[in-house]
Amino acid sequence: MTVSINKQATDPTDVLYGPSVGDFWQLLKPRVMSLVIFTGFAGMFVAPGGMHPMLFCISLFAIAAGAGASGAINQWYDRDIDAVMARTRLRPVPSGAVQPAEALSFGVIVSVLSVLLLGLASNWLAAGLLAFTIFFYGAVYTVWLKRSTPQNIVIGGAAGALPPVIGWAAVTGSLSVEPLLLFAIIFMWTPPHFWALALFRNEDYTRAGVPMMPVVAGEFETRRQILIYALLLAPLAVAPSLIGMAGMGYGILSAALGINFVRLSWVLYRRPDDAAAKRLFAFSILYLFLLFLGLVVDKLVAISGLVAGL
Amino acid sequence: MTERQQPKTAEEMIRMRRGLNKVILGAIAGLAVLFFVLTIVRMGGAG
Repeated sequence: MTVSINKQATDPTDVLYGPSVGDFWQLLKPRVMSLVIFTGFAGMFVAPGGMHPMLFCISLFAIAAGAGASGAINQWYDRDIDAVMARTRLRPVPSGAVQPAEALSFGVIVSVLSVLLLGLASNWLAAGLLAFTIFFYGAVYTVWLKRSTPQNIVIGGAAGALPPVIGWAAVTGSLSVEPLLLFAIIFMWTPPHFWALALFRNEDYTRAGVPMMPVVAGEFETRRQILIYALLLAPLAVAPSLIGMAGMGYGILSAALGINFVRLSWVLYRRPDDAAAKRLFAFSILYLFLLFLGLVVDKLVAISGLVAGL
Repeated sequence: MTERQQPKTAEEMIRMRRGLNKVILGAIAGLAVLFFVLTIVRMGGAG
């Protein structure tokens, strides 16, 4: 196919349209994808049993691709509200870099390929869970929950909590209480994380008409609920060491992190300002990262202990 | 998120599209290799 354009446009947004590789990369929400890769990796790594390293890498790649694909579908559907929010107005679809149909096609194709790849590389339980996650995020959360209830990110958080479960299922071919515990930790972590963001991005969400908790129930109620979730999350995160899934080192780490999470939530509850919300938001990212890193290190220590004992 | 790089001339637009086409070609080739490797590893009895 040849492209024929005779005039040189003076306004770049006039007739010229050239999506770049970077635009499609942004459709995959790389920052979200990096967190999915990490939690998915942790789920795979701490799962009992082994997996061929090549299949391990391909499975992790498929989980990441599936998460990215659901991000592309999300950006296709949310292009109207993304366009009015300062944080998202430069995303590829609202900025005009990628056409909506291209974003949807890209998301659907990558979704199908990622599920197929995961099924072939590991097992169809993991692939089914990945398909469910994409459907849940793309359809249930994006299309329904996000615009209809302040509980959007509470219920929708299930999609973000599934990657370690998928990772575990990819290695073991089954589910048990341990991956469900990892699911529960991320599930309880999601509301305080996103509500802290919503507190200092309140104007954005109000303008877009997204019924986030601070928009609908007010900032005080949001801060109160953040504190409640933090109080539930802190002991829950220690649970892996209590059920024998992780050792004492992880238990101490998770307890210390949990205390700080509750402390920052308490500070936000008592002293409502953007700085406190930003501190909690930033720490929540570090919290989840360190928690799952702790699980991985704990498993590494256990493995090295076993090897040394041989 | 930073401002995206927009094509300013038709030539630049065509160049960007050619670049994208090459990446798509690479991705398809990469997938073919991935499925090939997957098949070989699976046939070897792994997993």
